[in-house]
Amino acid sequence: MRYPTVLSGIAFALLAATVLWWTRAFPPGSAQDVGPAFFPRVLAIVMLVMSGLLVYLGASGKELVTVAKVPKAVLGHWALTLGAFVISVLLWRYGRYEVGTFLFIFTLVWFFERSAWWRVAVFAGATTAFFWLLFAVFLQVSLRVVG
Amino acid sequence: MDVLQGIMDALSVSALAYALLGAAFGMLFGMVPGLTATMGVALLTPLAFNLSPANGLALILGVYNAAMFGSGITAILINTPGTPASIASTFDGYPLTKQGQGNLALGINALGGFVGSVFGLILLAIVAVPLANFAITFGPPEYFALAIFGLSMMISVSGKSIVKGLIAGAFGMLLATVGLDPILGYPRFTFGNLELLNGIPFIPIMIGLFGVAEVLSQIREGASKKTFTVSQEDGKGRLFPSLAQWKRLWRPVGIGSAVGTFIGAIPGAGGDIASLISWDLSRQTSKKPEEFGKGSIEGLAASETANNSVIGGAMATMLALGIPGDAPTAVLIGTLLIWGLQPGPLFFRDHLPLFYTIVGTLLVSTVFSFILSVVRARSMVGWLTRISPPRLWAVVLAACIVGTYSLNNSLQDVWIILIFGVIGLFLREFEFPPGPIVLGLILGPMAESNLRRSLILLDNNLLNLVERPVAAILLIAAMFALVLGEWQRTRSLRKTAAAAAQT
Repeated sequence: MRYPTVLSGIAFALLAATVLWWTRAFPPGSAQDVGPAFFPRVLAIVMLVMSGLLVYLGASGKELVTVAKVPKAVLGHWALTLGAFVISVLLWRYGRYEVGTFLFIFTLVWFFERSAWWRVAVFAGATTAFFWLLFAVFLQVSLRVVG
Repeated sequence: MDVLQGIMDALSVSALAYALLGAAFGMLFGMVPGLTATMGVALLTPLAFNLSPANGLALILGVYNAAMFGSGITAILINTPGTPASIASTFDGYPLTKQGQGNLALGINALGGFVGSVFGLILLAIVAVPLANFAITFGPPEYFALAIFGLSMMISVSGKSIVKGLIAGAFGMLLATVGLDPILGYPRFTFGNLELLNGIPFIPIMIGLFGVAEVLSQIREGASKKTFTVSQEDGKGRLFPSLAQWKRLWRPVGIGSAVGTFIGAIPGAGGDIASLISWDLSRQTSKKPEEFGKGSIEGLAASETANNSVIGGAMATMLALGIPGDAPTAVLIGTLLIWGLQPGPLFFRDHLPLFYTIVGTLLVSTVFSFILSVVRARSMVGWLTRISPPRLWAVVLAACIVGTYSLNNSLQDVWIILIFGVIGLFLREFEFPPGPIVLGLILGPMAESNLRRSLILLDNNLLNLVERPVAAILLIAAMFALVLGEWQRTRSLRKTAAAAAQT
C-alpha cells in the first residue's frame, strides 16, 4: 500500500465529485448546444476515473513511482515561510509595502541563514529599496493598496 | 516591408538595452541551480507588462534564450545543471573540466548554443508562416483535436505517471472553466466574485506554480547545505576548439540543431529531452563513441546545441498554432495575452511585423548571450555559487509578491500565487507534473469552445470526426502518444526497480 498515492487519488476524486455536484445547478443544454455544464462534467469524470485508478494502483502496490516522506523540520520551515508570506502581505495591505517586504526578507534570511542580524537587516533593506525603485519609481506602479 | 519594420523594432536602442538586460537576467536564471528559464520568464512578465510589446518581448525573450546558454555553464564547471535542459551537458562537460579543459568546454557550450539557436531561428522564420497558413484552414474539430494532441504530448513526456499527468491536465482544464462560459456567457464556479468572471488570471497561477512552489521545494531540499567549488586551475586554457576539433564537431552540432528544433516543435517536449536524444544519437554515429560520458567534446556540443535550438521549434509551434512547445513558451503565451496578442494562425495576419520583431529579438539576444557566456561566464559562476540560498529564496519570493501585485494593482492576485504555490508544492511532493496543468489552463478554453462548436457541426456525434481526416489523425496520434509514453515509462521504472533490487 502506497499511502501518499492513495491520499492524492482520494483528494482529486473528492475535487472531481465536488465539481460534478456544483455543475448540477448549471442550466441544461439544448439541441443547439450541450450547455455550460458539459465540459466541466467531462473533465470531472475523466479526473474521477483517473483518481480511482490511482487509488487502486496505490492500494495494490502497483504504483511504481515512490513518494518521499516529508521530515517534520521541513514542514516547520514551510509553515514559517508561508506564515511570513501571509503576514507580509497583510502588513502591506493595512500598512506599507516597505514594512511588509523588509520584515518578510529579514525573517526568512535570518531564520535560515542565522547570520548577524545587522547584516541581514542591511540585505533586507537594500533589497526592499531595490524593488521599490524598480516598481514604484522606474515602472511607475503604485505600491499603495487602495480599497 | 513587414520584415523591415519588425527588424527595425528589434534593433531600436531601447529594445537592444532590454535584450541585454534580459540576457543578463537569463544567464543568472540559467546558471543558478533551482532557478529555471520558466521561472525567469514568469517572474519578469510583470516587469515586461509595463513596457511596450517590442521592449517587453526583448526582455522576456532575452531571459528565455540566455537561460539556455547559462544552464550549461554550471553543468560544465560544477557538475550541477542550472536547468534540467543541461543534464546531458554534465556527462561530458564536467569530465572536461576535471581534465583541465574547462575553458574549452565553456567555448563549445557557447558556440554550440549559438549555432543551435541561430539554426532554430532560421527555421522559425521559414516554417512558421506556412505552418500558420496551413492551420488557418482548420475548423473547430481540428482545433479541438489540436488542443487534445498538445495536451497528450505534454502528458506523455512529463512526469513519471501517465495517470497523474492526465489528472493534472484535467485539473488545469477545470481551472480554465472558471469564469464566463465561452458560448452562452453563463458564470461558472465564480461564487459571486466579480473578479473571477474573467477567469482565474493566468500569470499569477504560473508564478505560484513555478516561482513560489519552486522555492518551497528548494527549502525542502535544504540547498543551504550544498557547497560548490569552481576549479580555477584550468581557467587559462584554450577557449575555442582548434581546426582539428572543429572537424569532429560539425556532425554533433548538425544532429543537435536538427533534433533540438524538431523536439522543440513537439508540444510539451523541451530542452531536457532534446539534449538527451541528441547526445545519444551523436554517440551512436560518432567515430569515438567510447569517449562519450568521459569528456567528449562531441557529446557536449550535441547536448548544448540541441538545448538551444529547441527555442526555434518551440516558438514556431507556439506562434503558428497557439500551442506551447515547452514550459517557458507556455508562460510566454500568457505574457503575449496580457498585451492582447493571441498566438495562433491569425497572429501572422494581424501582427506580422511583430513576428519578425520576435525573430530579430531572439537573434539579438543570442548574440548577447554568446558574448556574455564567453566573456563573463567563469567569474559569474564563481560569484553565483557564493550567494546563500536563503537570500535567493527571500529575493525570489519578494519578487513574486511585488511583481504579481504590479500586474493589476491587486492583492487578490498575490493571494492566488500563494494558493497555487501551495498547490504546486503538493503536486511536486506527490509527483504530479505541473506542465500539464499549465497547458490545460491554456488549451482549456480552446478545447471547450471548439468541442462545443464541433458537436453542433457534427450533429452532436463526435464519431463523425472520421470525416475530418486532420482532426482524426491528431486524436489518434494523441492516444498513441499516451499509450507509448506509458509503455516506455513502465519499462524504464521496472528496469530501475530491478537494478535497485539487485544492488
